[in-house]
Amino acid sequence: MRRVFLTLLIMATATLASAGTLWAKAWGVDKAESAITFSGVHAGTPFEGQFKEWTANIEFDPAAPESAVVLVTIETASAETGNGLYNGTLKGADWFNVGTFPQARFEALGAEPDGSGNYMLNGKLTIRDHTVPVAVTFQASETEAKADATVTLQRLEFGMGAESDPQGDWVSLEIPVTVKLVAKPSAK
Amino acid sequence: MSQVAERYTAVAIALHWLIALAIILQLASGLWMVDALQEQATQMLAFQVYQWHKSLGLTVLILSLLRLFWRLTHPAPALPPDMTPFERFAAKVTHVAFYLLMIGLPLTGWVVVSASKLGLPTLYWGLFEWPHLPMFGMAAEAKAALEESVGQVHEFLAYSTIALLVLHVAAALKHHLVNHDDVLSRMLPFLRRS
Repeated sequence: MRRVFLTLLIMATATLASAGTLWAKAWGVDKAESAITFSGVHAGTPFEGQFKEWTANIEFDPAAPESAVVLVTIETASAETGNGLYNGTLKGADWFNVGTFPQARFEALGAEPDGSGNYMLNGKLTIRDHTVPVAVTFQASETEAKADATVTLQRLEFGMGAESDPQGDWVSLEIPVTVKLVAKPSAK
Repeated sequence: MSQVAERYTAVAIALHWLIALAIILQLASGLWMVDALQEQATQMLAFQVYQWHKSLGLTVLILSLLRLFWRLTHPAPALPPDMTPFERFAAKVTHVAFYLLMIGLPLTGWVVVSASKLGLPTLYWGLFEWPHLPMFGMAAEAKAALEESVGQVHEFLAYSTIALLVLHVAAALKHHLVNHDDVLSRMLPFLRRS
């Protein structure tokens, strides 16, 4: 059901985007320059990871930032920490629970300009079955948009590790997530 | 009877010493890691030792099943004729108990890992994911109780192994140093009987 809804949403935004000047411009992500990474501390030792598979659909017109649409879909099973034990645990029922919640998503409608090329996206981040408001800033000109934002998530707000480590004895409760994104307007 | 038949087979000797080394490493790591996991300074090392302990324990399980199969198909050399019926009985009980422990200890460990709320995968020497035992949709409380109780059995079996090991080594040394028979030497590798 969620997949169907997502697909419809993406198709709808794509349709709107193809309508061109009627609506905001579509932007394409430069994957080589972009990454969604996360970090934390396990048993006193820092770890880092990134999501290998994710897509971003961005509709944005600097002249009409209020009409911006940003939809980022992350495949939770693609979390890669370089440590097989962590990767395996993250897929488990008490963490991403990838069998039930294969995707996490960030949705934002409308960007707020600060007048100097910076914009604020007030979006909603959904991991598992919990949704939390998340604000991300980015810079944009007519030709390029860039974000390098770190949001520190409280993993328990998403129910992650709620059963196995609710006190943060093992894995830090705070998980900084960094979104590094470079996007350019898609060629018409 | 030929001299060769009075020694254990090369396979039995190899399995005996491989498993012996593994058991000693398992006992040492097991005794250390439980407390070390609670200390900040050693927590990470203990966590890694746990992963390593799981792989080595499963290795003991595999080798012990192989050894049991080998033992059932290749009879052990006869005990020295001068042993009393009680000594023969004690030797038999000790060896049966060892097989039970060599197979039972890894199995209880496997249950603990499978029931653990931590849900950590067992990566067998980092090569592949060893499956958890099925928990048949048990509730979290039931799994926690199972982890706790089987964990205590695991610990009890470990201490039993230490006691049995002391008995086993003492008996082997007694055969060698007091009785001057070949009970120890026939299990030693690289030895030719005189």
